[in-house]
Amino acid sequence: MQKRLKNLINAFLLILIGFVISACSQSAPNEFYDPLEKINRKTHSFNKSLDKLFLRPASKIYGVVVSDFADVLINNFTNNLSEPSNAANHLLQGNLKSSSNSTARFLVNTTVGIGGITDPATRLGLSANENDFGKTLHSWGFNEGAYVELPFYAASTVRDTTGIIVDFVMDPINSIIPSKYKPHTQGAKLIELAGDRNEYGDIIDNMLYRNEDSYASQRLYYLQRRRFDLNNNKISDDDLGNPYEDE
Amino acid sequence: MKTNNKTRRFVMMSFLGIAGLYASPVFAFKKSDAEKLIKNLTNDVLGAVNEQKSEDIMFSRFEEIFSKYADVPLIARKALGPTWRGASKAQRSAYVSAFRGYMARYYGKRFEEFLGSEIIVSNSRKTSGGFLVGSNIILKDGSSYQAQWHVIDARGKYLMYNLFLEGVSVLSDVRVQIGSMLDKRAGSIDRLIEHLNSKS
Repeated sequence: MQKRLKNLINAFLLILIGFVISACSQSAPNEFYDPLEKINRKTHSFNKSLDKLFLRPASKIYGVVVSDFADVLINNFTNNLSEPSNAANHLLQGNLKSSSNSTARFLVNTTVGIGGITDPATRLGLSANENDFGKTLHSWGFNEGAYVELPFYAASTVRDTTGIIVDFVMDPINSIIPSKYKPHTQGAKLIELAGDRNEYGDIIDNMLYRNEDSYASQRLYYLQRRRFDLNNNKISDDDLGNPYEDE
Repeated sequence: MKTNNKTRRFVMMSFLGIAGLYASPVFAFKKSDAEKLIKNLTNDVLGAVNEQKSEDIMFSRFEEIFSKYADVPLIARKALGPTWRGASKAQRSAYVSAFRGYMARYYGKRFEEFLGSEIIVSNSRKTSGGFLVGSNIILKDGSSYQAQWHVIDARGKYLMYNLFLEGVSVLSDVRVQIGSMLDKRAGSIDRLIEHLNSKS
């Protein structure tokens, strides 16, 4: 037990060191900064066995038990819970318009949308615009930092991990919903996790169980997808590379 | 004498300039050509998927489509990386042909989810030596993916070079795959070719 705690502290220290390093290094668009690869690969096999034992079977059950209609309701409900956090992050990024959009979505969907299980806001022209504190850090000029694979959570970077922690601790929903309902909302999020795993079932199965090197594939998919998202869904000239260049 | 030299140089330069203009195909291609290539490509892919024939038939259709629209030798070379340089001519051609089949099967499996979907080409832009053609893949269930196609000038012909699916580069993806296959086989290109041909 003590050894485990020591490992945990070590891992935390490494993340911290990674964060410091990330402040002074910038990796090229097609490259990965992965100094923790050895530890990450161990975490990856751990996560993979978790998926095999629990998440994947749970997602199969979800696919059978939960109807498409119920799936939409669960999706709406958990999405609505993250609107206050979206609004806060838009605000922190200086985007007043998106922030009030998220706030309005939350108010409309929580009331008219029956606690958030339906999404009338979208039909009113208030479209969803997700946000998180990792994006806020990006907008403040923080670099991506080292790639990390988090136990129980999968792919991330030092910057995004910091974002996850801040979003979790500072989530404004905590002061909106009475704490006695916390198990319910957390439960809904857990069910939603199985729902997401079911929705992207083939893509994730291919990545984890059919690709040559699932760790390298997951790292590639996460980082490129995230960078694309942070770059407002644009492919830059750097991303394109030089087709005519010899290596 | 001096003027004469200058004139001659000017004539030479203009001649070279005009020759260059004709030789360089960049001037001959338009954005609409690149978009047309991608429209035809995606039509052919969806056509093959929607036929709902056996996997073997579908994969061989994908192989034809891949050869027709993409710069396969270049993609194959890029996927292999530096090992290409040390390979003999025979190894290179055996590898390119094995790679073509592998791509058709590896991505072909993923294309099956495009059954009944629609692809809308839009928002293209010029890049150095080609175009980045934007598109939206709308699946049967209404969800959509953004796909951007990098079309390049390949020896006077426009061909697809790379595809970005929600920002993820297919070329990077396949580099990871080929790279780990090669690592597992101690860097032997012959064993890699054998593996690619084994259809596993």
